[in-house]
Amino acid sequence: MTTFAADAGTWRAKARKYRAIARANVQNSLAYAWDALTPGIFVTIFIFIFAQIWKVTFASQNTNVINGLTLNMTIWYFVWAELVQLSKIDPVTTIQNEVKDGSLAYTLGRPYNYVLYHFFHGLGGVGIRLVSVLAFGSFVAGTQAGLLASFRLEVMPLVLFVTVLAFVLDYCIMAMIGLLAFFFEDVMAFRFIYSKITFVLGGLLIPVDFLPDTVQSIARVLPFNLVVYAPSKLFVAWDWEQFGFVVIMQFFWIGVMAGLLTLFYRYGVKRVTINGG
Amino acid sequence: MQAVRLHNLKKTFKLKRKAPGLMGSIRSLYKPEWNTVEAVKGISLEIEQGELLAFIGPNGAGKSTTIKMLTGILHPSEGEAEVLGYVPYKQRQQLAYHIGAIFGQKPQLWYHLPPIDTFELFAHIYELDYTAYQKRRDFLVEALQIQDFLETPVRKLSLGQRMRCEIASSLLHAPKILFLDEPTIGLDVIAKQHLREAIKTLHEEENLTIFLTSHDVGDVEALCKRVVIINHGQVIFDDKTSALKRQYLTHKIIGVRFGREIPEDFSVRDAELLKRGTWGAKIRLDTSIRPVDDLIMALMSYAPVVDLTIEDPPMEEVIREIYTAQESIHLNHKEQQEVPA
Repeated sequence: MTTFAADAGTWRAKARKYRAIARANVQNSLAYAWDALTPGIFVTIFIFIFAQIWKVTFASQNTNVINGLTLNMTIWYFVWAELVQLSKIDPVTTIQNEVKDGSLAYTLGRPYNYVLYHFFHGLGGVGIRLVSVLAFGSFVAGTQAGLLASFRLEVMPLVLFVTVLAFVLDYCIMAMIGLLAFFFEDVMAFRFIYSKITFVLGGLLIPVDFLPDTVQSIARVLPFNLVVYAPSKLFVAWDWEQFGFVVIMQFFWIGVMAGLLTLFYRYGVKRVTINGG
Repeated sequence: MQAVRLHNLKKTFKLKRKAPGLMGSIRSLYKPEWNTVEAVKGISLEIEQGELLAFIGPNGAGKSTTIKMLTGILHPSEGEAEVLGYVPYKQRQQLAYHIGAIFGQKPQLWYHLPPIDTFELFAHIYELDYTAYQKRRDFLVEALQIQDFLETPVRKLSLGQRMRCEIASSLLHAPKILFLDEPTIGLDVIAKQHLREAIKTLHEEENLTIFLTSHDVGDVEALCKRVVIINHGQVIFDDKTSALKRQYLTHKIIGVRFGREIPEDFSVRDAELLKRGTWGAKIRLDTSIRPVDDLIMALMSYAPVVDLTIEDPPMEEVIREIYTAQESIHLNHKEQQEVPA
């Protein structure tokens, strides 16, 4: 007869549980480590093209600084923006597939929090993509614009902290979209809309500082800029005041979104139907 | 002690109906039509701890829906369910520590990892004591004979090997009930045999309650003492496996081999000639119409009998008859409902 661990039910046992879930996905992604080249190749092409566009833009404006960002900072901004975008957790596809192929019968029936399970499962796949995007992105940005002139090693842990919060916030939104699969099965259209909002208002297409004033004022009150723009901007242009504001706003929106996500999950799990006999 | 108690359990789904063709697709966007499907229509059932019960029925009968309600992943529309004293849909996480489930058509082992890695993961998910887990794992590895491929990525395993590993993974936390939803689906004869033996051993050694659904009557015959048959979401039979045969076996298959050749026009009164050979025949006899001894006497007086066999029809045939009978009752009922007043 198997016995439960002496600390079963405690936070320590739960922490071990979620760490094991993340570790299993690290192992899983290492089985096909070459897959991580895909975001690396994508970021190479993307940064190269954007570097050419922004070189022309700065030249045509005949200036070294646009809205507080130099060409060097702008190109490195996109490295960090793509790092977030291409490495972040994607629970939408995973949950949708679970609903479609019926494997939800397993993932929903285990002794863990389903939403946290997907977070840590996804987190396990982040590391390898992060390394790939950072390596390829930095190489191209370095060749196109030189090293980041405003780089400050001492604030990097804080930039990483904001980036982690950005991942959590994005996960809350993406998980809500994923949970829509409990009602609609196919939710790619919702994800497409969210990705386009992030693209424009989140600072993935251009830094929010470059948007027209009206659009900028809308973008700054919405949570989307806190996912891509905020950590990327702090990476290239560190500002203590801005850091404090970003962290407060991130915590605020994470609280709101996590609350909504919990309600969403409780509502959805009562109504979900599981495909297959 | 009761392991499972269901009272008037019901589950209804709303299914979107779409007329065929492009116009149908467009119309379904602005004027969707919904059908209410009653997948489970009031099942009441009690299962004792340590029972090995077959829960069978044709496709769409409501078997998997019932299992999913018992494991807490589907919420019933009406009725009560209690599994090991827990209300599954309210206490899903607490219940999960004490039950195991296998959905034969869906893998739970991580595809790119060897089974042993998934076992380790499950040990943490179920918050097991590590030393106890290792002992339990070694026991299951031995019982299910999976030692040779424990470190092979799941994608490289045969279906039979994978299925045994799936069962091991569901038993690591020593559940009190194991829900097996078509565990032998797609397996060859040998793999089925191995799996049945393993299930039987584990059931006997651990007094494990097993709730088995299967389309393979061989599973039911080999493993289960009790059979519950459901169709159209309702229980239509609930008794011992032996009673199923007794109740529904109204005919025998009689094989006879004579000491001389039989003519081409050989026939048998009040029985069906299934097959006729040069030296013998196979006859289906409805014992309510003609007693067995009467037919045997007649055969023996016809010609010297060299060999004679009397067999029950295969269980599969019995179940098919039950399904068919139920199906015609259901259709009649439906037609009566559709007749305008």
